[in-house]
Amino acid sequence: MKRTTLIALAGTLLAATGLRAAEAEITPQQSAFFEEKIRPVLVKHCYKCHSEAEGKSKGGLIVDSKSGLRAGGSSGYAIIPGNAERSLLIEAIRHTNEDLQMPPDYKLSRRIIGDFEQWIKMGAPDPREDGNTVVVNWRDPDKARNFWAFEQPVKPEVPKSTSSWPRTDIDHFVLQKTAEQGLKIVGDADRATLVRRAYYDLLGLPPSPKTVDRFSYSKDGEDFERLLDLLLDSPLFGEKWGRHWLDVARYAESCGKEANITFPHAWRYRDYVIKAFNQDKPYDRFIQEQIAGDLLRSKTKEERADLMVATTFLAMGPKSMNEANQRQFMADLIDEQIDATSQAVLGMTIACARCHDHKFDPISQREYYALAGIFASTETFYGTVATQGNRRAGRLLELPIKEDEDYSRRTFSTEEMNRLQDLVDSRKEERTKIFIEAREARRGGGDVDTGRLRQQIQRLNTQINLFDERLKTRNSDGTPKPMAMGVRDTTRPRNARVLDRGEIENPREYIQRGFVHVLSGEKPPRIPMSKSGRKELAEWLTADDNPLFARVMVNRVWNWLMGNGIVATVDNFGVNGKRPTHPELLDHLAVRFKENGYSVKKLVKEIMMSRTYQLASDFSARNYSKDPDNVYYWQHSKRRLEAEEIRDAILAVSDQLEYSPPMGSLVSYAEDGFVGRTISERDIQGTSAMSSNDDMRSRVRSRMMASRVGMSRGTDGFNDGERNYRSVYMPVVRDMLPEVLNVFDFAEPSLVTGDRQTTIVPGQSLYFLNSPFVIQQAGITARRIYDERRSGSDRIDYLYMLTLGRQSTDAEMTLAKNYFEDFMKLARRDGTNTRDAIGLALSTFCQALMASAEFRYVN
Amino acid sequence: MNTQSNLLSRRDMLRGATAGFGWLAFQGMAAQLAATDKPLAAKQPHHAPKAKRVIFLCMRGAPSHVDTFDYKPRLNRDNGKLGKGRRGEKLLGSLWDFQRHGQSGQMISELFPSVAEHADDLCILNGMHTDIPNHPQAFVQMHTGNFQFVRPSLGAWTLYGLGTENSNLPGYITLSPPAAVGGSRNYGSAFLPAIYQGTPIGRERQNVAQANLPNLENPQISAKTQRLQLDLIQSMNHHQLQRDKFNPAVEGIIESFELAFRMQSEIPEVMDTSKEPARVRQMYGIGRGGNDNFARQCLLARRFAEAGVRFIEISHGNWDQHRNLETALTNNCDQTDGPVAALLTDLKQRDMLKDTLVIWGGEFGRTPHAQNGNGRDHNAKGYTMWMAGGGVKGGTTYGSTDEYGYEAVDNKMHTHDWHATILHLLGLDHERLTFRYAGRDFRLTDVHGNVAREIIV
Repeated sequence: MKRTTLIALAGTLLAATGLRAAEAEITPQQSAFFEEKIRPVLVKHCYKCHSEAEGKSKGGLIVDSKSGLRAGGSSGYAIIPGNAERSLLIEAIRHTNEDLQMPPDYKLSRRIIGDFEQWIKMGAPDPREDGNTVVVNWRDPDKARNFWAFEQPVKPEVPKSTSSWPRTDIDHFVLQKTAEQGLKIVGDADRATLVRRAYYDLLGLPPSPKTVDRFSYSKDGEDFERLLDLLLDSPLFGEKWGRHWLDVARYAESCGKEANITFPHAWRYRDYVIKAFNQDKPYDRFIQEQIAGDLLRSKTKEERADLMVATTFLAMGPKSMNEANQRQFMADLIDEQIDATSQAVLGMTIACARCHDHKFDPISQREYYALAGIFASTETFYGTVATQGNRRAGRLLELPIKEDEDYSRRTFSTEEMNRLQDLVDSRKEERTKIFIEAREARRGGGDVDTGRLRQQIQRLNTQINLFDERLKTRNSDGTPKPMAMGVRDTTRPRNARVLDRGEIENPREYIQRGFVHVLSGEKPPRIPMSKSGRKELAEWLTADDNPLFARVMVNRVWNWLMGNGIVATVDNFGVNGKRPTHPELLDHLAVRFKENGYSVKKLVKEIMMSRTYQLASDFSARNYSKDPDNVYYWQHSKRRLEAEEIRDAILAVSDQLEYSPPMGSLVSYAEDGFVGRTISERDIQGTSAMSSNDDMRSRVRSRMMASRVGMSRGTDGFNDGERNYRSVYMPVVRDMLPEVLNVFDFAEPSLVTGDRQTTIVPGQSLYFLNSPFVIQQAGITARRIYDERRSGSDRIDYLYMLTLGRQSTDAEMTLAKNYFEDFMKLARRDGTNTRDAIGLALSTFCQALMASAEFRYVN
Repeated sequence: MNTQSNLLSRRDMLRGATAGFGWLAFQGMAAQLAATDKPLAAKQPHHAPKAKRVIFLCMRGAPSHVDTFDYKPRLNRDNGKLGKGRRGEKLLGSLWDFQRHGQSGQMISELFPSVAEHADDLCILNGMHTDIPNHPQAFVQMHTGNFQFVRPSLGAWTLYGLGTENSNLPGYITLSPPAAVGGSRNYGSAFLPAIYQGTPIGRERQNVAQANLPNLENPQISAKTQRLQLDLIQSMNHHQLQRDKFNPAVEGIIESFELAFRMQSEIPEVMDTSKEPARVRQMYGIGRGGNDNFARQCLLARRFAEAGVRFIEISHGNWDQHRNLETALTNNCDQTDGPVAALLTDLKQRDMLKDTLVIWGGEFGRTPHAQNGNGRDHNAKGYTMWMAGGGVKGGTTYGSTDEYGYEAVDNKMHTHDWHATILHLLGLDHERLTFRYAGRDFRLTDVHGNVAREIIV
């Protein structure tokens, strides 16, 4: 980033904050004028020296963004909208002032100068989106605090309007902006839409027909607030909202990258998160536990175990387990911890400062290594077994609790324990024998094929370690020990050294452990010499005077409910991120969040009680032409169901969803090993296509036993009770996701993801048309509506309620009837017997509703 | 809702009852859509095209230009001397020899012996440059022109401009795309209709042999019955579109269902490479260790091209050699050299190279100075990509970097220029290929982009 003068700096910062001010609406003519006459000139004659794109800001001026041009440079404002004569830009291009002539080497044509004069007289309408490329000199961190994100959020005054439209404070903020933008807010959603929206948003499931009936069609109608309270209290809430956080936390059950080795104990973190959301654990405490749970006080063993599990957050990132260099591995591990923590909690990409000062944000390389020292003083327990492909095996933590009987890894019988021990012993003996033989051969002057020897030894070591791990993670009576991933302080905390260019070969000076200055309040916590500083890091992250802590989370929650973040780049609040569309609303929510003890449930409720949330998703051509992305919330944005919701909804419709959570995960049944071998694509894909974890358990187990423990293969158990748990419990193995998650834009589990992408690709259509899972569930649904309703039209009505949460229309009833007639005609022609054909007609009809666009969208 | 709408036949519906497109046309907001009610139908280009389709060989991670296609004798001479890095890094001469190839005598390094045999078909672009030397930003910019905002990808613009030659296949296919560095943004359609989005097949780090589009066959009902069922689904979708007045997502779903239905019969056939003659499979290097995955991608690319897919992207990574340049770059080149050469040979033999634009390259290049002793750092100011076929002048080098390879100095080609040139070869004027959104006309090249006319036949 280029150095700019202080005056320029002041100007730029002013521009950054000045963006909050309302802009007069730009007419299409003005926009066209700018695009045709102004922008091309700027590009051609000015960019070379004054653009972020070229990295040049002579005189502190950049003109390739609206904010830059408005801000002006070291000589002052470049343009005064409406006043061409006082605008320095005009003076400069006229070449009337000897000291200020632009472009310096030649003069622009009179026509162009005329265009600029006219443009400024118009008010300098500039349709460019703010490029977010404000040039700021971060050398002075106190100045950097003037960037909006680093200013303390202050509770703004609510812009009360006299309009009768607003219901809550949120509405006043929203109305102010829509009015400024000349947008007309659409009407309220009808109650059937609202109840379906609330169910999906809070539970990730469709409402039952009874609920829809009660809420939207009964005369008095249940109070929406009571409905919200009910949903927020449901244990299903944590499964939906916990999953939001799991996206952010890049939760996964394998290390990914080249080796991709399973993390069979990661699921405990998943359950911890779900529980935390259900208990409405204050968000500051929630973060503290994940960063430093092991260092917090606990009253009971259960609580201690929970706190240990919380730190899995730091342990489950992607890792290159085949990295040959231990120091490189550690540096990468620490980097990943800094990256995940800073993006998830602060919306900052601090890890960019690993090799050099951050290119965009006020974070120096030294500050990065101040944080790195904290993690370097921390031991990460990520487990995995040392094998041929795993050079960097780690340890696990044993939890101080007794586990239930149906723990996901099963109890071994005495016979099995003995057999495992025998296997370990015999492999060890074999290994010793090879050593001795080799030694003797060498002594005897014989030829020793060291390559082959090493391979043999490695193979044996792998087996020994894998079998041994099974023994080590079980008590002597064969019951499994409760193990977990997580972190703990090292015995000797130390400062880290700056690595020049981030290279481990180039260590430089030691840096005192500490925090990022620009985000620190008056008194950042002090790190005792004898401690890692993780506890202090947790305090610092969650401090009331950390300007980003509350903002980032309220923005995430707002985004999950409203479809657009107030800051659109939910994981990046830095200079490279987008500016808030409603900065005051963001601060209002942030301060309220603090005042409410960081209660996520209260925040969610506050947003959902607003009239803004309860708007219809109706189209308006006028609004759309101005704000097609609905960033000003003139309507409720329609939302595609997330992958998990699609599968859960299908199972809810067919009444095959198992609501009680499973213990453990498919990956925990498979235990340690390589993805692709101990756990295969087939196992994983099977989880969406068929059945329950129980099936998986027996399949995986029988394979495991057969291949590893040397037992005879049992029957392939496909027939124990079909239990379809909620999708949040499906295995999340990096690079090997269950099909339904893959097809419907699941969050990439190696990246912090606060906002999933939505694609529309033919693979999704094919999934609905042909996937065995959908076909199977449609068949079960057909059976269900056939059994539960008596007449044809009742059945159709019931199906509409189940799938779409609304009654069918007359037209739709006709559509159904026509379909059945046509279907039977076709079946008769094909010679299908009538009974089969009726069943098929009904089940393909059920499938069609699941496949419809309406099913997969929330209005 | 009136009953009349139920009686819409499928033909009626497809003939333009899609309220969305109709509405758009009515509003004059997208005149470009009014011309046709079938968004994938082949469209008239702006001018006579040189290329009918594109195969983009995307080398993720930024390949080193000074070791492959940009010969720098001065760099080799000054090996070990101080470079331009901020910390006094030493220049690292290329570890590989360059030789003249073909009648044109183009300098190509020994890392690409087979590709070098096609020297007379290659137009080597040595003056490439882009804005940000950081993978996610540069990768997304290479694909969409802009890293700050979500914008349609190059392939989506192409499809939007030209439609497709085979409506039974997606017009834009991307094989084994990475999930990181922007993920689906790199083949997204952003504000363009969803049907122009790329269809991903497989994923990075999985051999494309295992990649298939699942669910291509219904285990329960015949194609005829399925058509009946699909008509039902589409009636529901059209009803919704009428209710919503305007809903691009539902339009996208409608189109996507039609495409999916048609694809069922054709995709398995196109993706089945087993029927290719053994000679051809061998030529690509299928079954040959490290080559296998990329060989299959190249062969699939040719098959897709032949079947009429407009834009095909295949991927190879990772070229991010901050260390171990010698082994890692050798490996990458070994894995891709044979398959890429085979693709060029194959296209030529089928007389397809003349109207298939093949593009090779990554998101930026690497520094002439060393990093970690045996690696190279990111360099966005100068690097190499190449094009072949599709109306570009073979056997030529266009643009150059300074004598070390730090910066493009002559006939520079920015990502925007590269986009403008590709569109031009396809018969599209990058300044006229616009889409009105949020009150203004958007282009792939924003306000930038110059067509490099010198490289066009």
